[in-house]
Amino acid sequence: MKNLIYLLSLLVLVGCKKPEPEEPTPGDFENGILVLNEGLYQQNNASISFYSNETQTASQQAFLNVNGRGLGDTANDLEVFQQNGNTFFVVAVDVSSQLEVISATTMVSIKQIPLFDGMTARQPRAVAVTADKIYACNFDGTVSVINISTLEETKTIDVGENPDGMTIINNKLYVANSGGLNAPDYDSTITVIDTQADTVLTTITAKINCRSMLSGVNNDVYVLSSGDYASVGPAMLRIDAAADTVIEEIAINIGPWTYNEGWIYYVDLDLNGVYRYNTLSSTFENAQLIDCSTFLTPYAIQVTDANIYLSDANNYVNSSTIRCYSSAGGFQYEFTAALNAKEFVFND
Amino acid sequence: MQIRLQILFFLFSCIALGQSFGQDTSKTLPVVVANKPIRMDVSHTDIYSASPTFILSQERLASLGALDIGEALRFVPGVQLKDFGGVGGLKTVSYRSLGSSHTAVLLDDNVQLNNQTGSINLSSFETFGLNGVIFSSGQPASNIALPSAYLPANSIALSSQLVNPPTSFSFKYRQNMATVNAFESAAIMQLPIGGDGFIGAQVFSKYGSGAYDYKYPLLGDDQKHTRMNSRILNHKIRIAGGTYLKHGKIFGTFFYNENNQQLPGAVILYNPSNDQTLYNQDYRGDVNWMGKITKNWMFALNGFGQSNQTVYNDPTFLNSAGFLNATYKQEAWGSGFILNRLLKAPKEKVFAGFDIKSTKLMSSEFNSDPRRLQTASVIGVKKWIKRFRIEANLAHQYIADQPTNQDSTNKSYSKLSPYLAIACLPFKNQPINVRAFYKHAFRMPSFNDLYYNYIGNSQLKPENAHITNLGISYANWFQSSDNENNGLKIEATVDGYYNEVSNKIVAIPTKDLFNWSMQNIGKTEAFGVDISLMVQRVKGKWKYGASTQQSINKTVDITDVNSPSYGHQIPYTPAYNASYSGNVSYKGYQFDANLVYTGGRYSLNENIYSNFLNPFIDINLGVQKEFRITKSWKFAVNGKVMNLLNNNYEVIKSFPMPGRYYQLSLKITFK
Repeated sequence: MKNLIYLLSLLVLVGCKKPEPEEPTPGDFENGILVLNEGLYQQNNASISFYSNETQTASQQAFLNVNGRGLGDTANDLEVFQQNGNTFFVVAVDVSSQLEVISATTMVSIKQIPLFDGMTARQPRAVAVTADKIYACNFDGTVSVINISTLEETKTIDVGENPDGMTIINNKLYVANSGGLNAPDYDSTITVIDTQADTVLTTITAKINCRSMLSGVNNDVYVLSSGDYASVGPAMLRIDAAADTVIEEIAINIGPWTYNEGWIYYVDLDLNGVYRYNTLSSTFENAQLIDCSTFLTPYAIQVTDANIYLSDANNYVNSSTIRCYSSAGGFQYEFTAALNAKEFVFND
Repeated sequence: MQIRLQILFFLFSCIALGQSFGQDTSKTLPVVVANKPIRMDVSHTDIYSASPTFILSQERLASLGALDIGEALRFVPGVQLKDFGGVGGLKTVSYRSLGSSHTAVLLDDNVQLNNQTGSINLSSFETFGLNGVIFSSGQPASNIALPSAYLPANSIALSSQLVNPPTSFSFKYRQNMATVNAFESAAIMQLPIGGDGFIGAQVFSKYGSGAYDYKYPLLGDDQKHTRMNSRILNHKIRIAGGTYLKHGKIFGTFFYNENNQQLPGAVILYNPSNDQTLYNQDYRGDVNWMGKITKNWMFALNGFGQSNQTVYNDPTFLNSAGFLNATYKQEAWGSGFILNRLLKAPKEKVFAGFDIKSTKLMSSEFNSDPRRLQTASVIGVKKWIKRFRIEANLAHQYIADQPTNQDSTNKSYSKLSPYLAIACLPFKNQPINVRAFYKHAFRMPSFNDLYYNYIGNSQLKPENAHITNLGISYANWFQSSDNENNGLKIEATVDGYYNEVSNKIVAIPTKDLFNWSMQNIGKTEAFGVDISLMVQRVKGKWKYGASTQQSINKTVDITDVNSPSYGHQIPYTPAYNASYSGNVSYKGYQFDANLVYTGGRYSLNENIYSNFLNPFIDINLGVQKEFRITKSWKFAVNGKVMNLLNNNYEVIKSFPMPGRYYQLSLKITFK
């Protein structure tokens, strides 16, 4: 009997000794890179990581540690903007159906803007900013307009089905309507909105399942169509933003992409590498810039004047690896962010 | 009491063998087995079993405060309950890191079938009306279960009162109220007909808004929030009737279930909208016939038919229709037999059997209506050789799926599952049992795994599990010298195990985050130790005891050496779990205390801080008083405090469980 009690106590001790992971310490957010991690659906784990250029180390959960609450569920997109000399960014938190406006230097949440139609979540998927407005395209087929000074919602504009990407050029907002939730009956339109009046100017018929958008300097808008994952293949479309017509369709399987200084940098998922497209001459550069064949899941790319940053989401269910390369494509360093690292903010 | 529990264990043997138990077995059985009576009412384990076998008797189920089987199984060492919370929320168990599809659920020896999802929701089996539950690893504890029960790694055998013939008219009514806005009304009535026949019915309703308060620190506040959209209205009826025959018993049961519920879903930060609903309508009819062909040959037959309809509705789905209405209807029938040739001693036999099942699924979410024909066959032996007990079986399963639109080729699987167990009683007069077993089991892909639009992968292979166990068990009843009913019962089991799972079927995003798909990618390795200890003292009108279950489990992902989660503990698998129970009863009063400790675990593959789910302690206390009104009428009132410490916890990430709440139950019995 006594032995039984001994054994029991021992087991209780074993239970208590179970080590728990340590909570990361918050850093300061200057001179480094903020990374927005999308997280996973229903895990409430969208987060922000910070890589310090000084210590050359990454810390996780910057938003949670500063604000004492989670960022939410599935943070899809962010845009940086300046107000009164300060840098902010706005995050579209999809499943939580919130826009979160955050100070880029302190990580303090300035405002949480709920986007609901009565009790139904609108689900913001992407954000775009002008000097005086924030636009969020919502999966319920709307675009919310927010005054950038008051951070109040001023208008809701109806667009197509399940819009998933936006870009702004020449006072026009282009919205890619994916219709993803109607698969296999995808939407195939782009809605064009006048950013002065916030009214729909026209709707362009493009290709099914258009998602991500970029704009270059040549009065061109670029959009990626994911196809139907079966018989209709993925493509990049070029739209003439003056005439609002599709002028070119290129069959290419582009994953993450970004625009910088006249070039589109993109990951070709078939060729497993980073390539460039010259928006001035509308030509592809043949040479591979970075080999991504060791990547499990190329998930994001962003380019600064000096560097190229790539996120590998490691099969979506593990922490992302962020790799930094020189503009010539030479590997510099890497660090770990959290689940599905999607966007970067560079704090000097 | 003793008789009833013997029925639970040796149902078939007791009925059909009759006098053959009377034969002298002392020559064929080791002394301790032949001579020691087992006090089943104070047993938690089957000590002489060759593989871990745990018993939850009717009394134990009541004292654990469990309303459904899922909650009760938390007190079986090695079992990890996945509880999504809410009244009527999904509950499944994994055992030693083997997912729910590796565990069969048997209701009155009949294997429950769900080829759509591959697993059975344990919250749909209430503890009301049960005689007991036996959880066994390796092979089923039942003697009359059909071969398909021998395929999975583990089994949960539920034995209901309804199919156990009453000696006289009996009636029981129970009303249960919980302060989480959940109510249960249940009644069972049984009647003998003529000399040999019997008939009975059980009705059960579960209803309420299901709204409960919880705290969710990730929201950054210390406020109470209310879990919404969890209303439920569930009605069930089960009817049974049968008769004894000259050399056996035949009975039929019919079950109808209608369930209308809201789905509380995951708690999403800052987004309270939750409007999904679920509707289920289920029918199942079974006929069981068991009997004796000659003195030593016995058979059991079963035939069943079932229909399961599920409708999932999301009224705010963001497609152009503005809603999602997914419908599923599964129809199945099956039949089979098992033949036992009894050998010299009880529990010694050679057996063989065959069963066949046919399933069809019609769904708005499937391109076509998949059909499946499956057969199971088994041949086995249980035999004493001196002090050694050998249990072995070889089970075979064959599955043929009809072509679907997505996959024009016939799909078939054929798998052999051997099981070998050796137990030994090394000491002549000490009830110590040393045991070891090996089993090779498969988890067959379900219709959802294979054919669900976009997600399903018709190329899936069966999940493959090698299971080994080595343990020791001890049980002894120290009878008081003054009174044979008084004494002290001690039970202890210690089992170590090693499991290896490959071709693990998991859902992962493939092309992008919107395109999840089922893949055979996982490989895991599990080491662990499960311990159970129990002491029970019976002294006159006093009965008191204590027990504990302890589990240590190290299950690591060994899929890909380059993956960041290589060597990490797999999700939802605590390295350490424990439970403790204490009970005292005296003259109709009963006091129970139960504690479940669930260790820290991770919600995703990587063992990092942001995936960590805190350990939690769940304590419940119960007090019951039984009043005898007349010789036949009894009345009992039972009060319970659940989650005594008012802990906030999640079993599954984003599914917070209720804080402290109370449960009051009234029971009227006529016998």
